[in-house]
Amino acid sequence: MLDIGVQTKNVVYDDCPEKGFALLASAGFSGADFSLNAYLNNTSIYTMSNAERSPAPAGHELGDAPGYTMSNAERSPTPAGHELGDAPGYTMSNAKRSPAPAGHGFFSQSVQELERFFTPHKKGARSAGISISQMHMPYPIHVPGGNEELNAFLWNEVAPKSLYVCHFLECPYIVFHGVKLARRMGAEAAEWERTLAFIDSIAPLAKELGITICMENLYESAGGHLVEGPCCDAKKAAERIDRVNEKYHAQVLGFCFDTGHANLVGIDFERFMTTLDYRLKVFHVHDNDGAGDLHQIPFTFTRTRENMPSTDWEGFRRGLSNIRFDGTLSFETAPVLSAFPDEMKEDVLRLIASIGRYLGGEATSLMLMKNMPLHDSTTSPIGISRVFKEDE
Amino acid sequence: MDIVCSPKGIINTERPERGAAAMARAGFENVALDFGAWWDGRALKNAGQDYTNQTDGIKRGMEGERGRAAQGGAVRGALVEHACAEFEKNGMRVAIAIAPGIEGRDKRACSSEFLLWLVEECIRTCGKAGCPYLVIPAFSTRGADGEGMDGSAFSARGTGGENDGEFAFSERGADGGDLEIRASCYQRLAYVARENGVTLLLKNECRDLNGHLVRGAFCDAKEAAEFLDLLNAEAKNQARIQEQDARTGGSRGIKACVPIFGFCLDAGVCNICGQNMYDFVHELGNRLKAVVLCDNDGRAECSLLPFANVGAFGLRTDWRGLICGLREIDFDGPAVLRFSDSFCATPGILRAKYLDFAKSMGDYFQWQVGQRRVLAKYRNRVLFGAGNMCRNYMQYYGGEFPPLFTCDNDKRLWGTRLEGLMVKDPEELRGLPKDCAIFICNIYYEEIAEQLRGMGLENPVEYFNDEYLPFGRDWKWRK
Repeated sequence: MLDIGVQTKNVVYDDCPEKGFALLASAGFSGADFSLNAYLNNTSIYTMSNAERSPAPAGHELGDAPGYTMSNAERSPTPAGHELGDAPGYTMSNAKRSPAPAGHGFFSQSVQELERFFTPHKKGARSAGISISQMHMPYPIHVPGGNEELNAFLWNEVAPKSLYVCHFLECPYIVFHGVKLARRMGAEAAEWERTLAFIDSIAPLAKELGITICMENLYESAGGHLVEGPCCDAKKAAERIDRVNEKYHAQVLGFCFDTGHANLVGIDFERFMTTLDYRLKVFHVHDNDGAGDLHQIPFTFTRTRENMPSTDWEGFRRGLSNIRFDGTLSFETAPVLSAFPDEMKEDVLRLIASIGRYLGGEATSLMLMKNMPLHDSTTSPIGISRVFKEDE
Repeated sequence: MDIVCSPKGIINTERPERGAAAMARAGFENVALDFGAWWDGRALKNAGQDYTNQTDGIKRGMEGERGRAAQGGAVRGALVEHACAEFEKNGMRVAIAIAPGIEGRDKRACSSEFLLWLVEECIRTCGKAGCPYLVIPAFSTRGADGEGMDGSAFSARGTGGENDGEFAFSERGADGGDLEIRASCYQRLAYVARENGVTLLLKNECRDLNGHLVRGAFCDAKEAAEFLDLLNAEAKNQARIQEQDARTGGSRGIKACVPIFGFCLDAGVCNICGQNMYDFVHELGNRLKAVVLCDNDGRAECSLLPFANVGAFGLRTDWRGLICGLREIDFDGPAVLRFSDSFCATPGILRAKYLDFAKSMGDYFQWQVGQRRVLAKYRNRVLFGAGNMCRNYMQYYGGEFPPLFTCDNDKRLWGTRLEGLMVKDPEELRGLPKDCAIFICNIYYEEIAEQLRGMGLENPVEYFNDEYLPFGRDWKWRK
């Protein structure tokens, strides 16, 4: 049976973290996806960036007098794609929690201050028997066209400090978002070069701290239509992960498969997961209607009168089985807890945990039926883990 | 690039005279023979069911249906020929044909054998009509061994049976089970295609997951390209044997047509699957022989005129990616404008005007995609206009296609430089050699063209446009 995890957002609050972790444990979770991104959410990053963005260039105005010098049909850029998961209902604001510092002030604190801040969280998780199995780095790590100061801060301060917090909370995996530039640069390969530069900037520290940074399949917004973003090609992702890990002689880079993002762009779950294989370290399990990034409970959506699921959960189970996954199956379903009344929170969490056991348990059963060895997600067939230990 | 009008929804399949004339009146010179207008997917469903494992009673019934379908097929074949004659009468060329497919959820029920028979008929019709391309459906058959995927899109079957060593392209079925697209189906068609001088085009398709359209066959451009290369390599071997047969009188005459397989990119499918069309086009490269230009809402398969899918934040379809990609690979094949749903929803009295608009839309794509090709056509060129469009020309194309100078009607600019380019009085154009092209870099194209005509200049006049500039320079990386 796999370990089951869920986001700490909307469950674990800064004023009394042990209470939230205890709730997770009683609902049936053994892992937690620590929502570090909630301390600098993407809405505030875009707000900070937009505040200093120069106005979009004007397009053609046919009424202008023909001096034949007016031109430029260059269009104003598409508005940055806010992820629905981070719409107001999903933000950290909650009266029950001590307010997070405004803007990016939170990450202006020193590493020691951050560790002090998260000490109750660490103790709370430990006392509840919850392991912080993964966490989410604030995102984006780069705002296209954003001001230089902000982008430098995200890259040089927020990212490394996130790794230190990850290490402090004894969490082995931290998920980050690659830069979204393909719609500006055309080729995805050009976009990857920028993401790779980011990885190179934090990989030495990740290696030093024994953390695997995980890139996630993302989407972008094209006029509100959610289309493929970074890391939507499993083959390319696998090759790139191998290349980076060979370079650093350590498992510094892994993959986080986000089921909801994959569903938005019609990705074949089983094929994607099977291609990534042992490189797949963590999950963001959630459901949507194929159009909006809704972060709902699996098996929620249907599209036909037969009421069969419109998300490929059977493929997901087969994928888990194919890669013999033995890590933590973690849900990214915090918005569900905003939608349900507070009184039902524990019941909802229990349901999510049950679904996790179904998905993971079934996968484990399939493996046992096929007499396949369980795959330890901390090792890889190419022996990188062993090399890493030797390096240490 | 040739703009091709899909007649689906525009012509009456039994009385095509009026529709064909309307398409010609709108200025379309090329037409797609969309067999789906005559054999739609739903009608094919029952006729194509695999009944081999059914009881005798059901078998008899289904055989009867197939017989009626074949009979009906003959009638439909006559209708197709009639439509082709009408296209020809109106001066339109059949530039590409599209074989009927079995729609989403019904695909599983249709046997490959029936679909193969139907496609073979389509190839023969193409041969008769002189149509060089036929877009064919994916031939999905249930994996014989029932095994799961092998981690690759391809699986070499080495079971020792009749399919030993055969390559297959695997995809998920509607029920989540494994399907294989067998190369043998295509090789069978290749034989007929070669005899009829037709290139067969695979096309990206959606898969129906309980009403949710997701990525289906040939939606991974890299895998599709690899599969195409395998098919063409095998077809080449087959061609050698076929040529030998022809020499010894064992076969009918062969029309040379190598490579026999290519790709047709359906922009509507890419849009539903949220795919980066720029990368898709580049991955396929010269294997890309045709494109289908149609829009949709990103969720359901329908055929809207491009630029119809908009929201509060603007365009919701990646037309820039497609245009820039096609321009960069110097695409010069047929581009099928498919807009049957838009057309049918338009009030009858406005439909003629809608066809005119659709033609303008096609011309726009042709102009945008062919821009680089037009620039390369001339050895010398000058620009007209000293504004932002001129600046963009210099920044994006000035290095590769340097102009001699630019000119502008604004006297204040004469003698100044823009991006290093001298701005002159338009009167200076009179001294140009006759073969030097004048590229208008200003949206007042018609007014300026009229001005040039008024000056009595005989130089070629072209319109430059900066609406879809190449990627990569219109943003600033800030770390």
